[in-house]
Amino acid sequence: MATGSDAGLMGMSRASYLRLLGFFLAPAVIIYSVFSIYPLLATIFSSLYLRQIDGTYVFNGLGNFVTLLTDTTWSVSFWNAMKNNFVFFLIHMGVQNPIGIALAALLSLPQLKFRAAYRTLIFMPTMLSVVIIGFTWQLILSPLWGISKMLLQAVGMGAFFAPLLGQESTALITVSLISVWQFVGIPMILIYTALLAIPDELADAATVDGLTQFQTFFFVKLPLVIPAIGLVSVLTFVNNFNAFDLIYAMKGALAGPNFSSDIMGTLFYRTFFGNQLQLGDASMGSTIATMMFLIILLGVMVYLFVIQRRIQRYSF
Amino acid sequence: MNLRQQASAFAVHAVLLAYTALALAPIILVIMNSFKERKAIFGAPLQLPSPSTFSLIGYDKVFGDSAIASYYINSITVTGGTIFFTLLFGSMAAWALAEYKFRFNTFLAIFLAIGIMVPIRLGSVALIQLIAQLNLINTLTALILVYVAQNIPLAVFILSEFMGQIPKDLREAARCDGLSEYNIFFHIILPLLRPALATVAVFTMIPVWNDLWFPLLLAPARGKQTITLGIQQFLGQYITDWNSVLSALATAIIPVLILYVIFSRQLIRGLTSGAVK
Amino acid sequence: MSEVKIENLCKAYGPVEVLKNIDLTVEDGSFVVLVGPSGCGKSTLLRSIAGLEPITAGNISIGGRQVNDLPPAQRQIAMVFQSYALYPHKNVYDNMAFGLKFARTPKAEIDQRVSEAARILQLEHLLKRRPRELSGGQRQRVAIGRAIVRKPQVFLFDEPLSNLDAALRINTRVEIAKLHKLLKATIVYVTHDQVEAMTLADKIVVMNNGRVEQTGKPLDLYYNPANMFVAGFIGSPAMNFVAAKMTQKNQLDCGAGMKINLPLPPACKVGDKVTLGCRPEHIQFAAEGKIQLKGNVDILERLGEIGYAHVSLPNGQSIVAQITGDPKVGNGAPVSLALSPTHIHIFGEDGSVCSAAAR
Repeated sequence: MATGSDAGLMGMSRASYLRLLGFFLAPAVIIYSVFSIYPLLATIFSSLYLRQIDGTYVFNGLGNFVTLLTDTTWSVSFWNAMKNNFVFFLIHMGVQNPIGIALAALLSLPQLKFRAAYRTLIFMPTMLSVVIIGFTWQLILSPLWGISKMLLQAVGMGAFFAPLLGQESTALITVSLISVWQFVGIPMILIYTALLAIPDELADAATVDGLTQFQTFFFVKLPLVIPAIGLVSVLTFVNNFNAFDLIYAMKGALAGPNFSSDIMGTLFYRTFFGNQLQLGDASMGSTIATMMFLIILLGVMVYLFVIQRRIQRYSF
Repeated sequence: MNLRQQASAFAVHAVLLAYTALALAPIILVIMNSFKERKAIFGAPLQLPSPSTFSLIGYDKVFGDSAIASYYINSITVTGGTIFFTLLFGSMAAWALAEYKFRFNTFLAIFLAIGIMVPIRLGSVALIQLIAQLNLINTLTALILVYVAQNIPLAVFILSEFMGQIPKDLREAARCDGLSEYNIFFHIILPLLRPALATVAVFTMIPVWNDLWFPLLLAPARGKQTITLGIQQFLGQYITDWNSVLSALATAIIPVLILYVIFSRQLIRGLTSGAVK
Repeated sequence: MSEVKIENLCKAYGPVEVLKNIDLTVEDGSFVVLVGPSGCGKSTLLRSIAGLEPITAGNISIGGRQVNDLPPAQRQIAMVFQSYALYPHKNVYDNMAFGLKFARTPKAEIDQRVSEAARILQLEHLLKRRPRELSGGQRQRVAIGRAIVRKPQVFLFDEPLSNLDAALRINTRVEIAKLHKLLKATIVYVTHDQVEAMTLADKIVVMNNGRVEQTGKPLDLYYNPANMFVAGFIGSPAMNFVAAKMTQKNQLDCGAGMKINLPLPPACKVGDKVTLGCRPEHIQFAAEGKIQLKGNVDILERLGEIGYAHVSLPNGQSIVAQITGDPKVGNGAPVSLALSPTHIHIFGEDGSVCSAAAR
């Protein structure tokens, strides 16, 4: 609650009021503007310029975007990364979030023993660096070590063993599932929190009405945590279209085999810094970053103005 | 408890235990095998190290690379610096936005909120040029500045929520007691904000400690790597030396696990208190 | 001299006026209670005196000094908040000493003032405790102690008893009254509870909708309310109101054949719509008396020594009469009520009193 007006606080001159505001706001606003907002705007801005052979930049309007989307030197990798990124996102939505909801549902059961222990342990992988997780799984799936083969043989499915990370057909799905494995804790905790906020009386009322625990969850609790599921979805979207570390750590900047696990983040990195196959290109790098920005912005907007508005919120 | 309830409780625990095992197995596997000799790693990867298979050869290699200590120091410096300035500047801004009325209040709040949703990474092209112009390439300062900028929006958001829970009467009592606005913030608000600050610190700490992107872009030089980048480069270098690779992974995992065990209650409480909505 | 003088004070949030032309003098050493329903502006008025709310127009002076633009700390006031507003991270001693420390008061003097306040309030054994280790009543006393050590010209109390349970509230009320006598302090006290107002105040200010409805000594307000609002607000249970019309000189028609003869103030003319007011304690079950109403008992509330009868009148209105002992009447039984003629109030159509009761 603010106590003063624009003119200042009681008994304080306008100058010292402004000094007060400056003291508290300036450090955060300056650092944030200079190192976050400015680079973002400057990157979008530089996507409108084209690098010449002599190293100078000329204004190119939306030319870079036309190139990126239509010139086959760029568009093939762009659309490939885009498609892969959507697959990456859909696997998270289809696997990570349902598992997260299911775990949250189990954790929120009344009188569950060892609740805190389960919660803490299942959340643990989320804490670790994506790089570490990537390497760990690389080792586990490696045919050299053979652990995965051994495990499959133990359950009589040895024939299904394959170098999952090394095949074009399975690399992206495998990497996506590893990411799901790591981050399932986030939807679990957020939905668990939302479930806890539902008053016990509501579940009791449903029990009195003759619903089983299963029915109570599906018909009473789940509809009430839809806002949390909406939030989880938009967080997943933003994180997925911003992902980079896992693919880079497991498959390198080339996102092999044959770019089959290439997503927007790795494409951006490769384009901006260059690699064995091409020189770094700041203009096209900015263009890809701007596309990523627009995709994320679109996702957030859809969430804020379409999904969130339609979601009925309840207060208890 | 009747039979049916017992059965369903059993099923619930079976599912949760199975998932917990799935979550922990890869981590345990790495740590376990990092203490074994090469033959045992490949011969019996699922067995605990025994006196006959126990070996620290991988750790000798990892710690023999004298850089590992500097990775840790760099990571601690960057994470610590980021947490300190994020909390200080974030809480100051949150206080001003929550407490004072001025023309651009709402605008500033929305301006800061943009950073919660839009990843700063997307500005990397211009950011790297900016850092170069400032002569900060390959410095930890650059990382701290970028991470503070990255974490301030969420910090302001969470701290504003908590700030709203501090009773208005308390601030007014302090005004009646003759405290200046600065003293109200530093002597009343900041001490009362301690639980919220701890939550924000944990939220800030984890992504910063684990980040690969900005160390790779801004401070990749030898001697300036953080632990995540250092381990990543070490792994790339010794990819065929399984003892070293496993030990390096375990070296990176274990401190985080210890911190997690210490702070997990804080973290989970922060997450479940509805701080993030 | 620590008189508080408020002249023509106005306060608006944008177009919403919350205080309208308030004039009020709080004499040196007096205990003034601002009372009214929630949202009436009494807390805003108190906070304006404290300097926690800027005012839109008018003047506030404390001890002869105009304080309109001074920050709270420079007004020589001390405030006791409804929630006590104790600093949770400081112990009792530091809570009381906090403001003095920032005013750079010498350590010895702080010690002396805090121990003096602690002695008065019997807090000596609690000085090292944190607020959360104290009971509600103890916290309340610390909050008062924090005010005392500042040696203010005026104490401001914002509903200080409303967070206490009923028994403690009565105790603390008595403590505050004693403290006022002991310190001879000037006090402005806000409450929504008219019993607190009646028992504590030298002067009561009844507020409603941002205006002062009436100012006066407690019993003056009780016996001579200036309007229907004050009449209804002061006294418990509330005064009964019966709508009536003056049909002849000195006769009121309450509808449904109920006619009352009584001398009416000259201001009333034949044909005026008026409201007749009479407190439950001035209505008895009695078949004789100058002013009679008949009705049926809806319900009897027996509280012991006294009780209250809710009676329906033939015109559909319901009134409450105080009963003593245990009258043997069942629900629905017809009764006759006698209204004490000297305690009847007549209010005009605008709600203001036509004349004080002809006592």
